[in-house]
Amino acid sequence: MSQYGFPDLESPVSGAELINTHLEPTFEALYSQHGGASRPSYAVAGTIWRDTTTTPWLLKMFNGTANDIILGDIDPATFTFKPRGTSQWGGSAGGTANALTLTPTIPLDAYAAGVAYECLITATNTSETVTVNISGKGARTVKCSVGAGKVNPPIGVLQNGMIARFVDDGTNLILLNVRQYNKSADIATASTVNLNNASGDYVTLTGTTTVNVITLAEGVEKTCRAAGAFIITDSSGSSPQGIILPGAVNITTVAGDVFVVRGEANGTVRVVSYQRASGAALVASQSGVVLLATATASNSASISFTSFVDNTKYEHYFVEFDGVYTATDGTSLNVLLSKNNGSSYLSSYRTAASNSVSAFAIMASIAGGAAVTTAAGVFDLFGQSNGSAYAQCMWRTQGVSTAAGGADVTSYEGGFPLTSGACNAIRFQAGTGNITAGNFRLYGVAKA
Amino acid sequence: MKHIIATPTGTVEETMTKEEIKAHEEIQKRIQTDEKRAKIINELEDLDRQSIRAIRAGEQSRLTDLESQAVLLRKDLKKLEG
Repeated sequence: MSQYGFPDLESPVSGAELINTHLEPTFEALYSQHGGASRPSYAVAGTIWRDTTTTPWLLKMFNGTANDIILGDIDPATFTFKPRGTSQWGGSAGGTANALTLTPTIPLDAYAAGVAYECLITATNTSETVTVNISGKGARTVKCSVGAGKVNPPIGVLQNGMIARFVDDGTNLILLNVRQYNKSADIATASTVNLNNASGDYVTLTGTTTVNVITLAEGVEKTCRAAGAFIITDSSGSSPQGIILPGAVNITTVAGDVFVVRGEANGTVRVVSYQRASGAALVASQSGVVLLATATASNSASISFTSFVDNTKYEHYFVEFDGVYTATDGTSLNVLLSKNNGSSYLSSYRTAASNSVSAFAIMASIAGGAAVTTAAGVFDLFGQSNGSAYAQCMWRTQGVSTAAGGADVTSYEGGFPLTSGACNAIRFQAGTGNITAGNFRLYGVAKA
Repeated sequence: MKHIIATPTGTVEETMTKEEIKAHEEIQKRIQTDEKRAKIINELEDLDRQSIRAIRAGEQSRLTDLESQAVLLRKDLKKLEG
C-alpha cells in the first residue's frame, strides 16, 4: 500500500482538483495513521505514524530531528497492542545455563533503563556470573539487588522451569524474582556435600557418612534436615575456615534435626542455627545443673547413659529417676559403670555392705508390675576428670517392697568399682527381667 | 529384647544383639547370686541377733536350734561363693 501524504493546501487549486489531489490524500493519511514503510515527509516533532515495514506494525513518534521513538507494536492478526518501554516476554531462554539468549517476538531495538523482560528459564545457573543477550544486542550481566548494592546472582537462583523477570538498570539486568522457599531433591551425605547443587532451599541430607566439607556460594542460605545420624566436622580452627559450627565442636545429628547454613568467603560455610529434633540445646548451659540426657523405660532390658562425660565442664553427674517399677516383683534395681562408653560394663564393685558385688544394688527389692508402688532416687557419679582414680558413687533411693508385704525400702549408700579409672557410661537394670517403666534424667553439675 | 541408650544428642531404643543379650543375662545371673548372698547374710545377721537374745534368756535349746540354722546358711553361702 502506498503511503498517503499531506499535499500543500496553499497551492492555487480549486474544485475537483482540490478534492482529488489535496483533501482526499490528507484525510486518507489521517485515516491510516500515516501508515507506510517510512516516516512521512511532512512529519514534525510529535507526529505519530505507523510503520508497516513488518508485521506487527510499529507505532512510532518522530522526535523532530532524525529519529523515531517506537511507542508500541500493533499486531493486526492477533488484535493486540504491546507498548514499548514496559515489559517484554522473551519466551524460553536459549543459549547456555550461564549465558542466556532471549529472542522476543518483538525484537529489541536497544537496551534502555526501566525496560523489563520476562522469560522461561530452561537450565539452572551453575555460576555466579550470568549474562543475558536479548535480540543479539549484546550480553548484559545479571545482578541481584541487595540493599543498596548489586551482587552477582547465587548459583542455582535461576532454576530450570521458573519464570524469571529482569529489569534493565541501564547497565545490568536486575533479577527481580530471586527464587526462594523450595524443597530440594535429597542429597546424600558424603565427605564433601555440595549444597550449590541443591535444587531448592530446603534440603534433606540422607545417609550416615561424616561431612567434612560443605560447598555453598558466598551469601547463599540453605536449610538442611538430617534424615539420620551423621557427624558434621567443625573446622573453624583451620585456615581458611571450613565448616563453622556453633560451639566449635563436631555435631552428631539425630534424625529430624534442622540447621541453617550460610556460605561465606573463601569456601567457608557457617551453621548459623541448629535445632535439635528433641528441642534440647545444642550447646548446654555451662552453669548450674544442666540436664544432659533423658530416657523413659518401656519394658526395657536396660537404660544406659553414654557419651556424656565432659571434663571441661562437669565434675559431678547424677541420674535422677522416678516412677520406676520392674516386671519381676522383689528383684533388685542395679547400676553398672563402664570405662569404654558402654561397650562393656565393669563386673566388680565394693559397697559399704559388701567387699565385692557384681553391681551396685541401689534398691534391694523393687516393686514389680504396679505403678502405685514405684521407686525413685538419685545416683551420683563423681571424679571422672582424674583418669587414674576410682570412680566415686553414692545413691539414695526409696520405694515399696510388695514382695516384703509393703515394707519401706530406703537406701543411703555409696561405693566404687574395683577397677580404677574414669567411667563414662552408667547403666540401670533389674536383677531379674526388665524395667517396666520409669523416667531417668542425667544431669551434669557445672564446675563454674 | 530392647535397651535404651541416652546421650546428650538424643535417645534411641535399640534391639539388643545376641552378644548383648548374652552379656546382659550373664550380668543378671551374677546379680541374682549377689541377691541370694545378701539374703543369706541378712538371715545370718538376724540369727546372730536372735542367738544373743537366747543366751541372755538362758534358752539353751533355742540357741542350739539357731546355731544349726546358721550352719546350714553358712554352707549355702560357701556354695554360692564357690
